[in-house]
Amino acid sequence: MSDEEKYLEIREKLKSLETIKASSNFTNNLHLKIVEEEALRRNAHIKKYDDEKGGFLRNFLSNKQYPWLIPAVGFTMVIFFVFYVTYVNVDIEQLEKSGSSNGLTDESKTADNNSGLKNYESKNLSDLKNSIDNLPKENSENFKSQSYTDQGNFKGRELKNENKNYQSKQDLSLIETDKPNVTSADNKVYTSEKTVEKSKSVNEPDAEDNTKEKDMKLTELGKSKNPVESGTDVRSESFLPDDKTEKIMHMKLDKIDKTGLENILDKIGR
Amino acid sequence: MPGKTETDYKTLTDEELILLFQQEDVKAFNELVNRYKDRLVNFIFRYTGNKEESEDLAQDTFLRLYKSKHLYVEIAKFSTWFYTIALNLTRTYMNKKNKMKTTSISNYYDDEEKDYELTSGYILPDDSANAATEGEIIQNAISSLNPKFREVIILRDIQDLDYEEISKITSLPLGTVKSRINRGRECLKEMLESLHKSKTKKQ
Repeated sequence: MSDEEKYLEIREKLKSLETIKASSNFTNNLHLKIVEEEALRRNAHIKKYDDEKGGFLRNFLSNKQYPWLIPAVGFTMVIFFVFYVTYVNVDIEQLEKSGSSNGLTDESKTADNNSGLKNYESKNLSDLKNSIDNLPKENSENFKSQSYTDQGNFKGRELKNENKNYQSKQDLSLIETDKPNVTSADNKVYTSEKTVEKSKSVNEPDAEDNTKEKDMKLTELGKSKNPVESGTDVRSESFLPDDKTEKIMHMKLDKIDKTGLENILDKIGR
Repeated sequence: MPGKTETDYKTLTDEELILLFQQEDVKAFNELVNRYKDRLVNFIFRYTGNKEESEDLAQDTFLRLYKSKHLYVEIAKFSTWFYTIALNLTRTYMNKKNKMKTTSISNYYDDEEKDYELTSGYILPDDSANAATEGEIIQNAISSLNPKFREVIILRDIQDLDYEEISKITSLPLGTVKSRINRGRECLKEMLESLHKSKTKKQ
């Protein structure tokens, strides 16, 4: 008697049990569960992707594909740092030193330029004096007396104003443009030049009248504005530069500075 | 598979259907659900004794199939693989349930001498004597069986699977399966006889 036959009765009882069937909404519920599961999976995937995304450092440090990348990058960074400290900083210091030395040379150069300018001015002055000396004696005497009266009786500034009037009439403007940054001494020379010009135009009657009138005016002004009375020195006044000369001086100085700077830059470049 | 009708799917074997489903053919999955839903619910119901729980567990089994379809390999029968999933899920669920429902009365009544360990998962034969129908009596008897006998008896005598398949599903040697089935039947027989005796005595 086999085991199957021995328990035949109990087997039949078990087989006769009613088969439990799934409910009618079983499939619908199953599909709902599947949809929910899919949504959860999708969200989990998105969250995981966002977490994995991270920042640059996180991605870099968690790079499992190339683990040697981190020490390699660290080593190169250290090498760059050492290179910067040893070479680049030293170069900057050297440049600074050379720049300071160049500055000194430029200063000396500007001084040289100024001396050259002075030489040029003095040369011009000497030329003018020579031209005055070559003039006839009468005229030179007039010039001397005139210059004396100019120096003794009038202020330099007033004299300059008068000179401006002369400039419009005569060729003094040429002289002025040739020598833009002349000093007070030049002013004196200009006045004498004017007198020279005046002396040249003695033969002309209108010019003579004008000169006479102006001399009168100057003497009147000299009386009223005596340097002793006014308490001002003619020379100190005459040292004040007018607008034109000031501008020209600034322009020249700018030029000098630029050239000096260019020299410095050239030396730095080398 | 595009262009296939429902009748075409019905003619296909389980293995062909799961292969189609592995190629993202949802209709094949629906066909598998139609084929196995009643069998699965019945199997789980006989194991748990609760209709709602059995339906939930059956749905979870199909869900597991949906998610892990790529794990199926053609060397095994689909039914064996599918019952294995169902049995594992049901075992896990019952273990959790038993752990949760096992209560120690001694925790609340320290003064009393009695120390009962009541497990609500199993129905005692005396309690089931009042059951209305014989089917309920048998179900109560099955539910009160030791789980290791219960699962093999359900698979053999209710689901009508052969010994080899049961051996694969339970991952037990064939001899162990046979002995467990016989021992389970013996226990069940004794339980049912005792129930009948108590019933006749009452009458």
